[in-house]
Amino acid sequence: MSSNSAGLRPLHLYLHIPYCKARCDFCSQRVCLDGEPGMRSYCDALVREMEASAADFADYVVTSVAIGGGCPTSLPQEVFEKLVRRMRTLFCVAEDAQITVELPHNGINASWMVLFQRLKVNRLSVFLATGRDAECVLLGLPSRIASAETTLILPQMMHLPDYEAILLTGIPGQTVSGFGVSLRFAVRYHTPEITILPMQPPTGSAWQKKKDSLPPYPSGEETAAMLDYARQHLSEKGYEEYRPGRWARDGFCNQDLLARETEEDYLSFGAGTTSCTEGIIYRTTDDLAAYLAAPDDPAAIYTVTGRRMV
Amino acid sequence: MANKISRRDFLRGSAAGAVSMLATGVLGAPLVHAESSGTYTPGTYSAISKGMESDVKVTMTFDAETITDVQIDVSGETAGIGAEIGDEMVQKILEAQGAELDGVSGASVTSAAIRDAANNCIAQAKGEAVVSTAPAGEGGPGGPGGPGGAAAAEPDDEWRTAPEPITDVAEEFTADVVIVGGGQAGTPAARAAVEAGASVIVIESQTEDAMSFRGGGQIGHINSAFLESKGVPKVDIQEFVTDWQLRTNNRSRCGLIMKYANNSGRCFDWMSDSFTDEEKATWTVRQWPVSENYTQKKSGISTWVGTPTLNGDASPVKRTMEIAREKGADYHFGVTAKQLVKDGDRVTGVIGQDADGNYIKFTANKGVILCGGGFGGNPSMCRDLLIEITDYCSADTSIGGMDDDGSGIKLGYWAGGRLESRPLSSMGGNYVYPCNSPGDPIGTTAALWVNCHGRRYCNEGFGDIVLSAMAGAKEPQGMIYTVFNDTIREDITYQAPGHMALDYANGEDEKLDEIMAGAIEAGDAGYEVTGMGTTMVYAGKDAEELGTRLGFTGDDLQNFINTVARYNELCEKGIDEDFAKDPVLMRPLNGEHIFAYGAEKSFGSMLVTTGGLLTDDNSQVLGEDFEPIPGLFAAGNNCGGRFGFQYSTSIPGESLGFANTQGMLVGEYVAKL
Repeated sequence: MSSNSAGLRPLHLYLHIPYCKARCDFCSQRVCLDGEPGMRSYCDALVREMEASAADFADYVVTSVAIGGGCPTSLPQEVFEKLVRRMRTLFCVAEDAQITVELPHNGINASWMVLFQRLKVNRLSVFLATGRDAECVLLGLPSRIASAETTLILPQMMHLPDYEAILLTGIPGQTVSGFGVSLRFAVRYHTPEITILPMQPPTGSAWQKKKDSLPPYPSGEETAAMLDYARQHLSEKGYEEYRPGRWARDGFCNQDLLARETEEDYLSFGAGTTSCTEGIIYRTTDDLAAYLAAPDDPAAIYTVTGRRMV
Repeated sequence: MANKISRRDFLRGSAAGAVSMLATGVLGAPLVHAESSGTYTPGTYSAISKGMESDVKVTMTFDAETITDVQIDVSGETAGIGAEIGDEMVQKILEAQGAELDGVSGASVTSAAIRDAANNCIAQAKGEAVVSTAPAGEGGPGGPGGPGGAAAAEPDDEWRTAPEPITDVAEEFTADVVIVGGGQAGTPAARAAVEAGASVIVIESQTEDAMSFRGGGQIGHINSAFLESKGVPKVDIQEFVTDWQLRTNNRSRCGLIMKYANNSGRCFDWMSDSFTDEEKATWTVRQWPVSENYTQKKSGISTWVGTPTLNGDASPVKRTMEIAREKGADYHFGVTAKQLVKDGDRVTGVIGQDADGNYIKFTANKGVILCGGGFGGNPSMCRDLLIEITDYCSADTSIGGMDDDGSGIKLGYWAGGRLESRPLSSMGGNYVYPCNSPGDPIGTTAALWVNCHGRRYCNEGFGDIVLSAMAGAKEPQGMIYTVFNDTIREDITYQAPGHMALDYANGEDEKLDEIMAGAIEAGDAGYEVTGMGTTMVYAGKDAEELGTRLGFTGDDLQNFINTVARYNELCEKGIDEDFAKDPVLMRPLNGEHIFAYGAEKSFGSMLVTTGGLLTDDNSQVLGEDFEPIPGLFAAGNNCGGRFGFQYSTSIPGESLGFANTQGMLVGEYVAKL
């Protein structure tokens, strides 16, 4: 931490990077697919938004940072590095702050891992989805299990303290035994956190085109059996379910997630995000052009949506 | 900023009325939308979006304030539906001077694609970020090959441009030898140099607490005391080097290979000299002892045994680093080398950057050794230098998972170093399947391979798996199947040693009995095997049953049946008249059951790059004129001229063994200059 944090209030930061290299078939999110010029402009805007906000939070200490999207590692490395370094100079970040980067299936290589070390990124959230190639194809993921394996091996190999693998239930054609294969695949790499989420009904155009040819979605009973299996297997492997669907080994958890259940403030940067500070919940415009035009003008980009119910 | 209120003040001002506004549904949109100026950068812009049947292309021309022309290509869309709406949409866009317009009834998908592409063009003309809702990877805006796509945004050879010299140096250090990278080549170089009496600085981009030596413990080498202690016979150097040059079409620098052959055993013994005899006694040698069925040479290409399997955390390179530091090597962790310093033609040092962004100058009295790893983590370098892989893979294929960012090679190139000719070599990437994965139930066993039409297509046992698998790259897209007999546990004893070969000497083949029994019991459903990914193994009492279970139908099923029959005929003859596979590998498919599994043919999954800067036999980097650059050396994956244009090994782990050995030799050499 750059200064004495005694008496400072905890703060959680989220930096939103809505960029991907390619769209997965089942993805319904609004993501940007353009190249470097767009990414650089957007990240410049993020920095401007942070610069415009930082003075208001001088009496806070940042205890967790989440960088998500999109795929933050679709940024050029120097752009990512500049962004994180600027964040660190603008805010008082605790030495032991949990700093998470979200990754796709095939999100990293050793070069990124070295950068994460230098920037003190200490947690990765890997959207694995599945451990089976056939489901990778069905979901339209950009790579296959061999790439996902690299993504899970590297954090362990390069001594990154914490990483999470996110798996889906409810994939068309998914069986209990198939889910078991995925789960065991995720656990095999000493993954400290396993998150199991239900697949949301996709609305993306690519999914709509192939929805008639998909195998049937698993029934409620089958999904319940998958979760039963997960409960049994993960318990045997030393995980505890600290929140529904959130399994972790002792000493690990998603601090950003837990923070949102408290009265602690969280501050988000980027188009289409939500923040809550001093009890006020507000959204940043998801109109990218509007955001890029005035990222440092609160009146132009923020909309108050409510108050936190405690 | 002068007229803007702060975030906190804005919220306090807004929050008071927010709750009541929420109740009436007023909120939900931003309080203020930024108005677009409507000013374009004059010119013509194109974008592609995915329509119902094809890519829809929109080309729009702008002057400073207006859209002046629109052209829409929907010729690939459904006749009578989408293909007819181009002119109508052109008119609508021109009239609206924008793309937020209603679609054409009955052609909503094509209309949406046109809107999407038109919005992309407008965004380009405005210089805005391009946001698309069209699927990328299918020709959508920003997708592979599409306008504004990542691949198009940055020229592939931009990395070749040297940066401006850094002058604002905060700190300076000096040593006889400065090494960029403290990994598998850099650390042996550091220890060798310091043991030869030189002062040594190592610049390592990783932090000390998280330092990782990638590459594992499979250090391929020959003729060490360790291998001799295990009974592994000595390898003839002349034969070994000749085989290497054959594998690489004589594109390797023979002097470097000869030095590796002569010194790799000494290097392994040196790097492991701090381990006790008791520790070493627990180490094994991969695929040793070999079966009496093993033959050294297949299709004219040799393989040898020479890969130790170390126990647990035993790491010779980590131990070597500890020794180097104890003897005085000065490691600077968390420092990234940014550029070299030159005095005339001579390289005299390195500028590094620490984790706080400060520049540090490291001056080398004798030489700088580049050991910065490969470039698989640098997409533009991959596209520029791995031209064969680039040809096969789509632009967004993820490659180089274990690899570095190419900074070492860039430093040498910017300083005038000459790259070996493209394509540079890499481990994998050009082609992966079949059998180049631990997930394959029978590993690299050269059984029968057939393509998606049920046809055999190559000599499955040519050299090693890296070479033999390449043939599949040119087969039709789809599945490639491996077909094997119930005698597989005997059949694998005829195989060449390899990274992905089943190590029968150490029990890796024991799982096969369970797999075959599972496949027989599973019948049509197949038996799922989990390795790296999952594979379904099927059994059949004959080719027809097996082919049906694999999913072959019609002509493809008949092809499969004919292929198995022909293969058995050739096995009976003892000569492969179709593809010249070595007779010892022609093992018939005549058991009570035969088995098969398959996977989609696959490109782009690459571990590391193994090509780089050309050097002389002392690892001194050559300039464009092929003369050595004074003061500059390269080793490991910064050094080219080792593997030609395709990594292929006669012993598993030769890249690692080469990096260690070359590092040791260049450290000794530079220290004595």
